[in-house]
Amino acid sequence: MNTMASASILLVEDNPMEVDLTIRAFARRMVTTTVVVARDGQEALDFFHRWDIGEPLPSVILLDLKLPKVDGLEVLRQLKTHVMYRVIPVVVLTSSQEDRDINAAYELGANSYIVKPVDFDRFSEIVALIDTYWSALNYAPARDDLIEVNNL
Amino acid sequence: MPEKTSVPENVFSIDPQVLGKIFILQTAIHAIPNPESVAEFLCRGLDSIPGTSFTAVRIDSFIKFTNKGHKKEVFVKEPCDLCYKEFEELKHAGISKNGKQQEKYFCIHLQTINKIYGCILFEKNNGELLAPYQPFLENLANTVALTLENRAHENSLNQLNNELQRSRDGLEVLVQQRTGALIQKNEELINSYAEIKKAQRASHKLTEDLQSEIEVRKRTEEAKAVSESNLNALINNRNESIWSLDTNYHLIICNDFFRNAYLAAYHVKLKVGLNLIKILSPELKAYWKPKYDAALSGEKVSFEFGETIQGVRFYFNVFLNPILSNGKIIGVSALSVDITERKQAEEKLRTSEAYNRLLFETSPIGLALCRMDGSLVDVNPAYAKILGRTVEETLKLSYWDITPEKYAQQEAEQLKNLKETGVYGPFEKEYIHKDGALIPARLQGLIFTQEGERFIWSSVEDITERRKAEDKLIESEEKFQAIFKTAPGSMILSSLPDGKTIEVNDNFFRITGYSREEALGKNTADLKMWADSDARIHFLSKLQTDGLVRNFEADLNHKSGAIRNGLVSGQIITVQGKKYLVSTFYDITERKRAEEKLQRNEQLLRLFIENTPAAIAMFDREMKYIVASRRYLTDYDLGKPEVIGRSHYEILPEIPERWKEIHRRCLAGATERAEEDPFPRASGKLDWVRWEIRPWYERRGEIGGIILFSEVITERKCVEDELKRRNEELTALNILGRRISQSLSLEEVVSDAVKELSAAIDNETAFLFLRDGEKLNLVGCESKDASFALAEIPEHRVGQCICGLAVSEGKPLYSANIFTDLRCSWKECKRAGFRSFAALPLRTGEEIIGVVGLASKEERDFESRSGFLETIASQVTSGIRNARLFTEVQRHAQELENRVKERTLELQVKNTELEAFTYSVSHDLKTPLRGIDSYSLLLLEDHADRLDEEGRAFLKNIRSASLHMRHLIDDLLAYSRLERRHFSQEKVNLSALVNGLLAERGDEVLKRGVKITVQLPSRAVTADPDGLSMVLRNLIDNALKFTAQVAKPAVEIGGREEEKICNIWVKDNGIGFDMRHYPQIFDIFQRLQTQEEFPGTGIGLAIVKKAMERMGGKVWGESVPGKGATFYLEVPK
Repeated sequence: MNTMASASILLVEDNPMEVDLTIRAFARRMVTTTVVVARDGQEALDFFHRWDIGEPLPSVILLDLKLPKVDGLEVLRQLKTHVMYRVIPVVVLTSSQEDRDINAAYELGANSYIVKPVDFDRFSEIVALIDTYWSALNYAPARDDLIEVNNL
Repeated sequence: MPEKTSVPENVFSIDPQVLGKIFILQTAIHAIPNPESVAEFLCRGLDSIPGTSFTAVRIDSFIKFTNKGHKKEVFVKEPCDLCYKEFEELKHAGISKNGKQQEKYFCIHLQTINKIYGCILFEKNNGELLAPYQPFLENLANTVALTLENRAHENSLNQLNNELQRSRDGLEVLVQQRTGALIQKNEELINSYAEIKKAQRASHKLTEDLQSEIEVRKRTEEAKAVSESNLNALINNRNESIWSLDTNYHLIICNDFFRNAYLAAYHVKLKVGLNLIKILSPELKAYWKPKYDAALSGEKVSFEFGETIQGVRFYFNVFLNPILSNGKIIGVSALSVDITERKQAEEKLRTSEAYNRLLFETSPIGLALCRMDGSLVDVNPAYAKILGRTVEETLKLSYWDITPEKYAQQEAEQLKNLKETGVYGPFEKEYIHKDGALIPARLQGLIFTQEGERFIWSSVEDITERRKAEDKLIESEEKFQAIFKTAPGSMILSSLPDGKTIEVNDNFFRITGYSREEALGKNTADLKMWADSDARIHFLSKLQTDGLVRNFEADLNHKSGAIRNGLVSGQIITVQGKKYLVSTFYDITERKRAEEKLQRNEQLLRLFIENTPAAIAMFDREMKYIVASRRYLTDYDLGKPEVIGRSHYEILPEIPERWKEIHRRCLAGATERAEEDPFPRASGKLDWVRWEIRPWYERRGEIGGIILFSEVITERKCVEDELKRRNEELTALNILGRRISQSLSLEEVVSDAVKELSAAIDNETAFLFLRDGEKLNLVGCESKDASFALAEIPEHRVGQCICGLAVSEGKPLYSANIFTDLRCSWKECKRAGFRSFAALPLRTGEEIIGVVGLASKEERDFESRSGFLETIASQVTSGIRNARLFTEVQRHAQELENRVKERTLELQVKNTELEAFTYSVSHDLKTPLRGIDSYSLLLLEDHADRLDEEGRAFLKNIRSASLHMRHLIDDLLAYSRLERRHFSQEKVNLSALVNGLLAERGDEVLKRGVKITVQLPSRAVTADPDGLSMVLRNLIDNALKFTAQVAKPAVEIGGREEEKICNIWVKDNGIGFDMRHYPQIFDIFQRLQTQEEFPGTGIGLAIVKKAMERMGGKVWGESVPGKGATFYLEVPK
């Protein structure tokens, strides 16, 4: 199975305006990475099947919390408890500044939490960090060992 | 010629078997346990005394008689009663006499000098036959009486002391009598034995005489042969029969004596030549013929021949000799001597020997025959018994084997004496018993010679018992001496009849003043001791007639001349046949005085007791009243003081046994009392008495009787009982009140109420019904009767039966007997066995909420306690009412609480909804705002060139409005977060915090040249850092904002420590505000200035206030318009 991340970003966002603005923001900062959009929580979870049959994993998932069908925190929980897909970095992207949302996201294993409106300059730094993360992961020990580590 | 023997009448007229019986009785009597058995034993043993036809024995109250008697009771009673009376009279006279001879009866008293124990009564049918036994029977009676007396003596030594004087005499007399009788008997025995021996000797002599007589006859015959002519003359002068026969039995010759005898005996006149065989009867022929034939054959034949002639038995000694003539037998000569008398004597002797042997064998006195060397030849069983051996064993012993060595000398002397005089003793020595013990014995004896050998004949009497009696006597004497010496009165022992003083006791001198020496040898007349000589004469004459005078009051002269009043007693005593007078004098002068005093005291005591206000009675030992107080007599309705001297039981014959029992115990020394004792009167009234009975003691320490103190306490007890009852009721009320008030649950109140109600009426049954419209529901029941079940009482109804009636009538109803009470219409209570009932309505104001029923199986007067019961009922009522009120209050409280809970829940739901609303509104508002902001920015950045100035100005306004909108939303969210978020309590350094905040605004401060003054205490305060930071930021921002148009803007941030808090202020010199608007400034969205002049959301101060409240602090402000404003914070340290 391909553990390598493709150069795509999975954006889970139900508001088309937000999607549009995000894509524009990436474009404006010369980020060429493909942005795949899931319009609700269920759609995001459906990606698991696609990844199961070999579709490349996104290099990062940008996750809104307020989502139709399946709540963003639930999507986050399933991702971060999944044996393989939990390695995918998740950046929670939301307009909520509530403490309980922030705490809940971090407790479920979110890698970063960004309050909208997004400061895209800072966001670019995070994306760069994610690249470093993935390179480190590629040199990491074999997958079986990973499982072992996770079991500890 | 044979000697005619004389035998003592006494011995030969006594049937030895009877005598033996008497001896057996005499020796065995001491082993018979009780008077009744003694009587039985005597009666059986004496049932066939010769000359008597009926025997009866009475000892104490036991009467036994032989079956031969008829009209037994009469026989026994009459003479005995007579004897009894006579004995009493004799006793008074001081003279004792044993036995009473009457015409028809012979009665021997079983009597000692002290007492008659009973009698043996014989009905005489031949006085002469009985006479010889009388001394034996009297002796037996003595022994029996003595045995009885000894038993009595053993039982009471005290009596011995009291009767000392008389018993001393009595014992001596008895011993003498007894010893005398025994000696006499012994002597008689010895005499009789000697007589027997004499008779034997006489008999031997007779035989010898006869032999020689026969020789004489022979010679005579020979002479006859020589001179036949002289023969007839010779033979006819003789008192014997002489005859001769020829060989053919023909009579040759006979003398007149024979002829006469023959005529008399056989009515045959003898003639010479008559065949003497032929004329005989066949029996006689058969007897005589062989005897003649033997003589005819040459033998000398002699034999004894007995023949009854005219009813008289005669004996003859017959001698037949052959007549020889020239060597040839020519006939038989015969001689017959009348030996009837001798024969009779011999017969008598033989019988007498057997009798004597029997006497010897049965004699209670030991008899022994021994040789001079001491070897025993013959002993009787009594002798062997003394030694503890059998006769056979004893005969193997020598006299010396049974004699202790210490008696050797004495024996030698006696033996010497015996050899000289032929008799020895009586003397006393000891024998060695088989078990080694020494048995005291009294001996006497004589020597007699038999066939040339000398024997010693001894009689031995076991005197152990006598020794004991003697010891007692000695003891008695010692006691007598002691008493004599130490007697409290003066005692004189004087000889009679002269009255000379032999001995006086120690007190004599003290009382009379005469010393012993002065008194000895003189009589009272010599000493002039009697103050009144007539009195002396009177005393002496009384003494002479009665033998005894007791407590004769007399005045005696003291040597000093003083007259002493006292009591004189005297008694004549006999010592060794001589009469003496023992007299005592008790000085009672003092005693008399004391008695008078005592009498006075007694009189006083009597007066005191009679008039004492308490009930007191004094009784003697017979429960006779000695004295009783008037109060006692009235208390017990005994009337006048005539009860004195009468027995309590006589006056109150129906007194219960319980009281008699108490009296007996008290008379035995107990003290008994009772604090409350029921005393049912004859009238039926029940009184209560408190009493105490104790014994009173006479001076000697004996209980003289009892004293009874008593008090009728009926009234007091009634009051006490009433008080007690009241107290119990009050206690019950108190308990009930407390219990009922302790509990506010209706169930508990009901349960407690019935329990306490039941307890208050001695655990009888209590019911409690509560009213529900016209129904009465049983809610509680308490009964000591476990079998009674609640289910037995059905639902009750107002107006029915007594409980229902009590409710409808609204007053308590009582029924002493529900069976006869028409109000009690229902059957359940009757069926349950109740009898009396009380129904108490439970009334509160005008309303009756229920009824209490009290029931008893007895006929109980509940109404007598109506006050108490109704009080209880009212307590129960208030308890129930309280419980009900409480239940209602509780219900209300519960309702309110429920409502509050509901409201709170509603509010909570609303709050949550509101929060969610605020949250989602803020959140959702932000998204379109972001769109406006972002797209207006994109428009401005990417398409500004395609817009004119105005368009661009619009875009800027859009952007500024969306920015304001964003602030508004952020502030609102912040404000709403204040409500929700948790506030911590941490130590916060104020200076650092303020400096940090000022640094954030550093550019603006510098640019505008605002003068900032910070003066804060270094102490940390306790607050939520973010919260405090938000508060101060808002205040500093406001200060900076409102000083924007001031020439010399200045902001002062200061603080001051108080005791528990820290005050912080932020002061500016800005535009300030009118204090009129102060109440609104902390409200949300309240703005005092326009957006143009001072942009803001209107939420800042609301946030400040809310945050300070959440942190437990305060905020307030003051201002003068145009002069600036100051906001104060109070933060806990």
